[in-house]
Formats: sequence, C-alpha cells, structure tokens
Amino acid sequence: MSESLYSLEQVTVRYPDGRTALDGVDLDIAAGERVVLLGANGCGKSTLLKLLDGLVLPTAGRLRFAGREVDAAALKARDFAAAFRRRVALMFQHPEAMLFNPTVAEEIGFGLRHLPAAEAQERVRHWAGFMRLDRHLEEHPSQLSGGEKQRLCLACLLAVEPEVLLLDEPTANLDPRTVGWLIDWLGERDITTVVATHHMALAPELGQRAVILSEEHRVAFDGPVGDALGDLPLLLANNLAHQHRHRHGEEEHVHVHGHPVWGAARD
Amino acid sequence: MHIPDGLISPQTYLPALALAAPLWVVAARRLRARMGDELLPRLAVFTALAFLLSTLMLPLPGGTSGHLLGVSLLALVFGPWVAFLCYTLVLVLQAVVVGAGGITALPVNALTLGLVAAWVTWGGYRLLRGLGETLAVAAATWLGIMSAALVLALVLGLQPVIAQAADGTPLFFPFGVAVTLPALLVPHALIAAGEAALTVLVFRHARKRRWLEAMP
Amino acid sequence: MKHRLALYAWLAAVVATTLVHQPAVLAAGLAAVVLASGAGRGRLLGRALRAVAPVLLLLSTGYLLLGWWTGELAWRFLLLLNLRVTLLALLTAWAVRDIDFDRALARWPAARRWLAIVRSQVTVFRRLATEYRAAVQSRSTLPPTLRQRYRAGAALGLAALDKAMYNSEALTQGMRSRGALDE
Repeated sequence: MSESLYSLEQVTVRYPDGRTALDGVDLDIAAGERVVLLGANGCGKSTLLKLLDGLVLPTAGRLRFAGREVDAAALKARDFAAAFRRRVALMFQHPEAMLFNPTVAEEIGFGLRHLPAAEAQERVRHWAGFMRLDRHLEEHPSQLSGGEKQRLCLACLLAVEPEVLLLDEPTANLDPRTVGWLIDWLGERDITTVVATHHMALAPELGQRAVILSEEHRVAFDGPVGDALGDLPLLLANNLAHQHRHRHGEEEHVHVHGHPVWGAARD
Repeated sequence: MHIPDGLISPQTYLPALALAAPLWVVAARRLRARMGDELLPRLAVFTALAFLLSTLMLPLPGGTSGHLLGVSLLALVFGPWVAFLCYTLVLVLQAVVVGAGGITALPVNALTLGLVAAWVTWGGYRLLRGLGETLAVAAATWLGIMSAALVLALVLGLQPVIAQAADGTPLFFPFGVAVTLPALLVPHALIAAGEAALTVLVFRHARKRRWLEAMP
Repeated sequence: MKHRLALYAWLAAVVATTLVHQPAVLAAGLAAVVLASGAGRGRLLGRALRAVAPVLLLLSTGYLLLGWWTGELAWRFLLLLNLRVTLLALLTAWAVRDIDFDRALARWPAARRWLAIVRSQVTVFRRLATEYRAAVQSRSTLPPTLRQRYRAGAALGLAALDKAMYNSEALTQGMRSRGALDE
C-alpha cells in the first residue's frame, strides 16, 4: 500500500464543555481502503467522521490528509479548503443538516459549480434519475419525504465524485433498497470509505477493515472485519452485542444479539 | 399584537423605516463579527425558532389565551441583537409567506416588538439580577412586553393627530392615546404576565446549557 | 424576472394605497384588483377578509360607538378605513398566492438561501411542536390545569431551543462540509 491518505497521530478531541470525544487515537487510512467504524452510541464515531471531514479539529495530536496537516490555518487557505471539500464528502445522520438550497436541482448542482453549465446540468439529471428524484427537480427539498431527502443527500455527495466518502449511520436513515444499492455501487469503485455503524450484520458488506472505538473513546480494535466479529468478548466489552436471559417453558437460555455470527442465538 | 397594514400613516412608517434600517445593518454587522460565515445558517435556524415560539399559545385564566411573542426569551438567551434581527425576519416571513401582519407596518412592528421588547428585557434583566433570577427574568420580560405595548399604543394613538384630513377627521387609525393606552396596556398586563411565566420556566433550564458562551 | 417585477409592483401598490385618501379611488382599486387577480378571486377575497375582519369590526364598532357618544361621526372615514385595510389585505393575499418569492429573490443569493433554510427548518420545528402537543394529549387522563399547560408549553419551548442549537450547529457543519461557507 502506498502512502496513507489519512494519518492520525495521538488525536484527542475535547469539546468546549469538557467532554472528551476522542482520546489518543492513532489511525492510518490508505487510499481506496474501506473501513467500518464500529462502536456504541456516544463513543465518538460521529466526531471521528467530522474530524476526517475537517469539521472538528484535534485538541491535541495531529491529523494529516494526503501528507498535509489539516489544521485551522490549512482550512483557511482557500485553495486547500476548496480542494479538500471537493475530495472529501460526509453524509450526515440527519439530512436537514445538508440541505440549504431552494430546489432539488440546485441542491444537487451546488457542488458542481466548477463545471461548465451543460456538464453540470447533465450530471444533475443523471443523479436525480439514479436516485429516483427526477420528478422532484423543481421542488423545495423540505417537501420531500424522509427517504427522498436521504437519497437527495446521497445524490448531492456522489455527484461531486469525491475520493473519500464518510457515511454516518447510513443504515439508520436510508431505506433498505438504497442501502443495498449503495453497497453494490461502492463495491464497484475504489473510493475510500469510512462507514460508521452499529448495524453489525452489515459490517462485512461495508468494508474489510474494522475499527472499534471503545466507550472510553479509544481505538479498541483495528483489523479485519471477520476477526472483530468473531471475538465475542471484544464485542461485549465494547457494548456492540448484548446477551439476555430467555425462557422457553422451564428452561432458561442466554441469547446473544447484535451480530451475524453470534446473533443467531447461542443457547 | 402586531399592527396590520392600513392603520399607520406614511408619515409614521417612513421615518420608522429610516430608523429601523440602520439598526438592522448594525445588528447584522455585529452578529457577522461574532459568527463570521456561520451567520447565515445560524440566523436562518433562529428565525425558524422565533417563528415557532411566536405560534405558542399562552393559556390565560378565564379560558382565554394569547400568543407568546418569544422575543424576550430570545433576547435573554442569545442577546438583544439576535432577538431584534430574528424577530424582524419573522415579521417579514409572516408578511410575505403567510400573508399575516403588514409590510408597511413592518418597521413599526420591528422597532416595538423586536427592538424595544428585546432591549428592555435584556437591560431589565441585567439591572434586576441582584434580586434573584426568577424575579429578574419575570420582571424584565413583563417590562419588555409592556414597553412594547406602550410604544405601540403611543404610535397608534398619535395617528389621528399625525394624519388627518382637512376637516379634521382621521385618515388612518382613528382613536387617540386616551383610548389606545388603556386598550393595549390593560389586556397586555395579563398577556405579559403569561409570557413572563413561560419565559421563567424555559430560561431556568436554558441558562444552564451555556449556549451564549458556547456560541462562536 | 417576472416575479421580481411583481414583487416591486406589489410594494409600490401597497405604498400607493396608503397615500390615497379618496374612498372612491380605493374602491376602484379594490374592484381592479378583484378583476385582475383572475380565477380563484373569490377565495382570495375571502382570505383577505377573514384576515382583517376582526380588526375592522372592532375598530368600526368602536368608532361608531364613540361617534354616537360624542356626536361627531364621519361616515367617509369609516368607508375609507374599511376600504383601505381590505385593499391592502387583498393585495398581500394576491402577492402571497402568485409571487414565487424564491424566484423574486434570484438576484440576492444570500436571501434565497436564508429563505430555503428557514422553510425547511420551520417544517422541522412544526413537526416537533405537533409531537409535543400530541404527547401531552396522549398522556392527559384529565384536562390539564393551567399550571400543567404552562409546564407543557415550557417543555416545548426548551425542546425548540435545544433543537435550534443542535440544528444550527449541524447545518453550519453540513454547509461547511459541502463547501458552502468557504466562498
């Protein structure tokens, strides 16, 4: 593998109210890698994605993208910021956060203003069709249904043809058909992806490499997805699987839920 | 309590516009200095918030109800300039999107319900803080709303004097201050008390969130 | 272009209506607007009247009573007031129905974007309010007392503030992420 696209050295992120979101995270991500980011609620997955998108900066430690340090000064530099924003795309958990244009067509075309008008228009049409939004091109984004809004967000991001796609809990908000389509679509391309999810069953489909964030906001595991999913103590320790007692008549069993290998019920 | 179109004379709303316009610019500049390029999204969200607050009903004893203004709450949480600007934008929205309220009356409404109510509430709170928070918030809110009602009553009550036909009949709002003062102040004493109660209940928790400090 | 001109025309008409003091001219203006506003004019007029009827009724009755009391009654003024306020309300109802403000603001991209965000955020806040009200209804086994209604109102107000803080932060980040703030 060539030089890392992202390199995080001992990155700590602390919010102004004193909460720690990430604590001493070391992480290298190579171009074209597909990473699944796992962790319980509140462990720092969203913050890590925002960090990779340059929206949150390290309180301590270093963040590098394509060999260049990403800090406040770099993001102020217009050429770096513009290129960075075009190369990296983040799909937010809530679509309302990303939609701010008066029509669906303009929303998709927003990231394409650097292209000649005809080409931009063509791409808007293409992506609107792809995401089954072609009937809504002149509508206001707020008039769309929840699922349509999410497909619109996806269209906006993919139309820009980013090199890095960061997805925050896509399965929580996308309909199953779109999730399936997205997995296939990503599989055919070599876009670098980092997908945060606690939907364990989908993890093997979303990437080869798993990174687990512990509830202490540190990296608890970094390795092949299969190894992570096979390690029940690891999953239980990081609140990614749960077991509970269950009665069948007189007998009592212990069930493990929350992932494909163990979830089938191990009595 | 805002005034609809057709009750305020041009002799009133044009000077009001001349007074309000530079204040809008000052407010926008100050907020831009504080929030930079984040002004637009934040202001848009806060406008929507102010819009929602202005639709909240204030239940009053005796089965009646009034509308919350919400401007006092905005002034206490985000400061008077944000409150003034957001409230103005709410009035614009009500005028051009909903069709309620008035476009010629907008500067007068913005100056009274936005500027006067926000600054009196904010200033009152700072002055009275020593008396304890609940009392300070309640009194400041009540005073803020009552001051707005007072200015509105004066503006309306002066219309027959400012704008009258050659024969002395009024051209716009017909009643003098002898009518408008009691007509606006008496019911608003109760409405303002309702607004004060609700503001106290919300602000008590809102203050703990330390939003103002956290805002860029 | 068309919508921008319509916006200017509406503003000019509104100002003009406050400069004219002859009831006959205002009546002619009212008739002209009713005629010009095309199909659906009945609904438009109804909408305008509903918006101003309470105010006009209150003011007219008050003026009549006061005039009867003092013996100074100007029918001309009563006509003038009612015609003017109705005409203004009708003009605005017409503008709200026929002017696409998004297109009218084409020249001011910041204003357009503001309007676009406000529209979607208002939807978000409306949903929140509906949910809170439904929750109060669903949990009320007895009609709520005044105190409980204030508490419910305060809970919604606080939730709205929380949501506003969260949404403004999320939206700012969303716009930054898509490169909308580095322009």
